[in-house]
Amino acid sequence: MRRSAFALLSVTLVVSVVSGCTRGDSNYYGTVEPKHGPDEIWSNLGPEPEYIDPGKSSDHTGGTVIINLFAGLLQPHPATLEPMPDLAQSWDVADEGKSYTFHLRPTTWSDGTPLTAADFVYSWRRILDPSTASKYASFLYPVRYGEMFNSRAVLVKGLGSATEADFKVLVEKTVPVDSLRMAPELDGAFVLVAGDDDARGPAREKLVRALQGASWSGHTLSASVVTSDIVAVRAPDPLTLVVDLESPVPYILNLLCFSATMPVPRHVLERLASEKKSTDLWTRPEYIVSNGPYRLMEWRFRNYMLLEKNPRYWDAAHVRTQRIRWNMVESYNTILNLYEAGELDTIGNTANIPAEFMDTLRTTGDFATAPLNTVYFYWVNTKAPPMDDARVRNALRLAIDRVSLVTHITRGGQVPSSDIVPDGLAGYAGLKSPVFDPERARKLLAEAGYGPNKPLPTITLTYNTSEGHKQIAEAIQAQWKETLGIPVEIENQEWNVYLRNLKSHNFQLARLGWVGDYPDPFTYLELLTKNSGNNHSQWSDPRYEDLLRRANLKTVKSERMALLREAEARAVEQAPLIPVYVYTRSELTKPYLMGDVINFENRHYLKYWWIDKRWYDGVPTTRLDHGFPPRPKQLMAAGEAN
Amino acid sequence: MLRFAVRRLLGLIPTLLIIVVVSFLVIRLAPGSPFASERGIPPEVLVDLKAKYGFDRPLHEQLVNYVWRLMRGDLGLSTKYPNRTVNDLIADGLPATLLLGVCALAWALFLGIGAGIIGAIRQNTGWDYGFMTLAMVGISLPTFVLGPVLVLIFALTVYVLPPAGWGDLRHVVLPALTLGTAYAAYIARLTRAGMLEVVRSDFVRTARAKGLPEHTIVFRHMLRGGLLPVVTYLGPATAHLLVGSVVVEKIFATPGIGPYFVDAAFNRDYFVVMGIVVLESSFLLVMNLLVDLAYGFMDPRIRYE
Repeated sequence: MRRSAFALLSVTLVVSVVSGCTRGDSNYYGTVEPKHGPDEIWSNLGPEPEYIDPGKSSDHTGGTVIINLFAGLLQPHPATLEPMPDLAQSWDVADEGKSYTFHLRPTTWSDGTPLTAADFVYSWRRILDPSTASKYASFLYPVRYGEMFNSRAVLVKGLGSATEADFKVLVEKTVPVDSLRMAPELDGAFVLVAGDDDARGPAREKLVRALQGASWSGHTLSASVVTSDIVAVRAPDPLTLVVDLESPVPYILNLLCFSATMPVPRHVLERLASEKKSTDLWTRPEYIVSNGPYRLMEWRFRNYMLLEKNPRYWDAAHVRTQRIRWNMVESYNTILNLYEAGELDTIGNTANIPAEFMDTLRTTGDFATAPLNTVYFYWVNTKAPPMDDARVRNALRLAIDRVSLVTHITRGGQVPSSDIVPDGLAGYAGLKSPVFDPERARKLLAEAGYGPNKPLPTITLTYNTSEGHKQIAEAIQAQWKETLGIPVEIENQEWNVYLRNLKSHNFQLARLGWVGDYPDPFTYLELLTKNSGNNHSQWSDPRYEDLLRRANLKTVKSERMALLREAEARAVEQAPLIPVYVYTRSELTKPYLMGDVINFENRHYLKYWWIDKRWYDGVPTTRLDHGFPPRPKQLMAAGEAN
Repeated sequence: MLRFAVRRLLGLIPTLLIIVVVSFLVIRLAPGSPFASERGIPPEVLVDLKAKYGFDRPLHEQLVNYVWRLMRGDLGLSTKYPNRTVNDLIADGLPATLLLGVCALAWALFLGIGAGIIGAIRQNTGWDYGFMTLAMVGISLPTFVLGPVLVLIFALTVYVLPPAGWGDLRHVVLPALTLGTAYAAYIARLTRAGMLEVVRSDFVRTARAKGLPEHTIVFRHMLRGGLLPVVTYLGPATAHLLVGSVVVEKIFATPGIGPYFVDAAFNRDYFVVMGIVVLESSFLLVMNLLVDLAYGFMDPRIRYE
């Protein structure tokens, strides 16, 4: 009986694989006739989003919802991600790239309330307000004083010509100092107090009490914790938004396409507050008001969301589909089943095709793949011997056979890479460092003094529990053993434990993926700066930081890119992290679903999606054009727009 | 009888309290934090996040607060889905899980008791061997195998039922069959064993001697005694079915509470973990009480004082 059960199982498996490929057209996976009308699309959102509030969201699903419900100053081209005007019709740049004036088009929220520049001022100050507790607040740190407000800095004014050193002595008499920032333009300085979470609040109060009204070297001081007014974003009139930056940010227009910079409806939040309701409720379907291509009509927890075209979106004429249903299915196998049966038009942007299906699905007309802005790498703890020696780190980097790894282990078409920045990102020519150089690896290890007489002590490679990461770690373990003859132990940890060990530097080598925040090399290179907050390697290098700083002061793109390349080359050789590959994204999309392409950031813009109606009558012989807008002119680069 | 029930109900309260205190401390012992993320969170933001959930207070104070709120029916806030309370989460997911659980239970009882009776009264025949072998397979076949096989047959090969999702009763069939079958198999074996114990007992012989028709003997006399082990098993089984199954609800994308506990534990979503612990232990305690009471009806020898 047991045996016949297995026979049944294998028969059904065979039946399903065969039927999956033969039903409909032999080139496609499952049905190819839409199960719904042409003004509707069924997609899969994936896991339930944490927040769909632009000011609070920090997860990918939340971001996907926000970019489709809301509109910001700019929007990216759906395929190339180059910034294009959205609410901002045009903008002026002044003060050597440190001041931007955006001219908004007259638009309204989905309830008809006019949307003004003041909404942006409110929204940006809200996300920077530490009491909003936004995990992505740092996205707006380029705005002048944004970081000071978000860090609850104490601003001491009336310093005159006092030096930083003198002032530091004065402050440290009262409280321990984390950092000081002189602000001569304000005749003062910002103080960030040091201490534990529950000690900093009282310390700030103590500092304010001590310095407010105090007289010091002939000056009368004033001191207060900064408030939102200090953030340098203003609305001189309802359609003009002026933003001052801390320093020129060459990728600012890309940042302004990001969900965190989108406006929130102040009037709705304030109404909820006046009704004594939690303002967190504003994103529920019964209250939500948005300004983007779609409106949220229904939201069932971990079940589905229903969107309907927002007739008040300024560019509604170009939104092609009336209704979107986003299912929230998490299991990849279930998603594939639903897709095969035609209950989903696309597997969505969070589902991954399981490796065992790859070879079969790759040959179907539904399959598409493209590189992503995400790098798979290992952090090296550069303070833990023997990895405090750059030669050892570099030897480890060079001794990974990445081509073999992606061909035999990961199998998803990942791009083997030994660089920090993915090649081709926003016009950046990658370093293309050798992805496997066993000769040089052995030589470096010998130079570091390790060899048959003095073997390298056992090193431990840690990864967060996952079958995929395990296979990669095992392959690298074997490769290092073979190429360098070094003993490697691998160890897995549950995600939360893993993150804790990573942050407390309790590791030797630890896996991580890094998703670029914006299409610019700096989003990867910044990771290795001393103050990035995400640099777990404990590596810091003044020359590297200097190159980056100089690069971002350059207004000519080619000069900037050259300096960034120099910085990257420095970091690659120092190897505080060991890159393995650049992720790729593989998706299944029904042939009748148009306008849904994979871009570098894995962001999917529903406003471009539409159904090719010819598929209701059978399989057409030609493919239509997606109908994307033309690529924006290169004038869009910072400093050159008018 | 009534006094017994009331006394037992009151006795549940300290038991539940002990469960709450122990689980609260155990989950907080787990390393990590609900706000852990790859990306660094600004320090002052973290301060406000912790304050929002009261994690800035000493642990004993948090425990007292939790128990105090729990007594008023407030299960706290989720850290993973921050604009929902745990009460919201359970209210959102419980209806789907309950519907699925009840259908699975009905299927399990129908199939299990039916097969068990046939197995017992046709002992050592082809019927008996056939059903009991099937039951053995049913117990051994994990839901993550049975579920996909059913989907392959009924949703992808012949499209008679949707492969997953939620909406109407067609969506309940496959997950309920998947979930209920293992229980059905176990119930079949218990029923058969229970029936065989009473089949040669004096009261059945008496009934036969009185010339009662066979179906009256089986259903009125044998079943009442024979089902006692099944009823014992049904207490915890029902409680488990009513809080759902991670595997089945993930395979069929059922928007129920089944995956909450495991997901919340990974996310260190403390109050959700606690909420599910409270829910499941309450179900379990109440079900066991119902089982004890049911003994009184099933077995004439048991009396409650």
